[in-house]
Amino acid sequence: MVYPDKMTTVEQAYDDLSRRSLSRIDGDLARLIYLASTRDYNTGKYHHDGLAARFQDEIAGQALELAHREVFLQIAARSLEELVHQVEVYVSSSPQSREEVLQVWQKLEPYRVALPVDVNIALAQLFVSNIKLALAILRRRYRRQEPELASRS
Amino acid sequence: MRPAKQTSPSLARTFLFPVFFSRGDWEFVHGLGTDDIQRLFKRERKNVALVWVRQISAMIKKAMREHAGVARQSKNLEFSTEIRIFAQFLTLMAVCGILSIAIQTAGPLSLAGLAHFVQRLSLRIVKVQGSFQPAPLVKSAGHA
Repeated sequence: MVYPDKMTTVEQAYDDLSRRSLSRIDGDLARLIYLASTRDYNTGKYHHDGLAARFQDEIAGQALELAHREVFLQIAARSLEELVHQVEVYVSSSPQSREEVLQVWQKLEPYRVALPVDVNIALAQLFVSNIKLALAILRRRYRRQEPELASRS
Repeated sequence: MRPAKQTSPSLARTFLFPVFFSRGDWEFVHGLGTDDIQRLFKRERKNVALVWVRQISAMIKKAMREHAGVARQSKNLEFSTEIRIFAQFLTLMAVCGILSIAIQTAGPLSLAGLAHFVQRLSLRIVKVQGSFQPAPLVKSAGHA
């Protein structure tokens, strides 16, 4: 069997991933967390059942890795205000209460696992730092909103 | 959404003109009017800026080591060029040291004023790094 050019195939897998999965996820932060979750903690390799069914496992893994890096670069280049919005979108989409999610994120810092491998150290530090700030800003914002909401009801 | 085959432009922009030196984020945080968030912002930005300077320093040292390796193999070194490169290396290392102290003492607000200086420093590093490898190799090839 003759396989098409390798890079073309990775691009095809990437497009497939973007079209079928990533486009259905609301917000870059949610996409980043989703893509990071397809990476094995022990091996660092990416796996996605749907993608692996349509492409070679290795090609699918490369497409996932590429998408992960791309989404990370997009989100790391955002302003703090935009990132606060991204975190808000992510937190609001969770079935848990906003306060609960924010508290757990501040304690466990799960967003550190969302970093791609071999990313620029300063950029990684900036991302982690901005998420910390966004969480602190949102917690304060929600705390301020609580008495207002209570007095209205 | 298309994959980037080379270094992403956004990464290059971030590296050459770090967003943590810009005032935009500070104005947003300042507008929130909360002291604890402002303090957290200053502390976080200071840490990121120091990581960035350390990264730049490491990059300069690595480039200098690589250049020294190439220069040792070259049979036709130009003494004046080597002196100039070494002087640039010393200048860049000194500037990184000064920048580190400035970041630690002056805080992120003053860093906004240093942003253009840092950008120029970064561009200079890239330029110097680019000038390291080819020249001696061309000379070596010419004598082969």
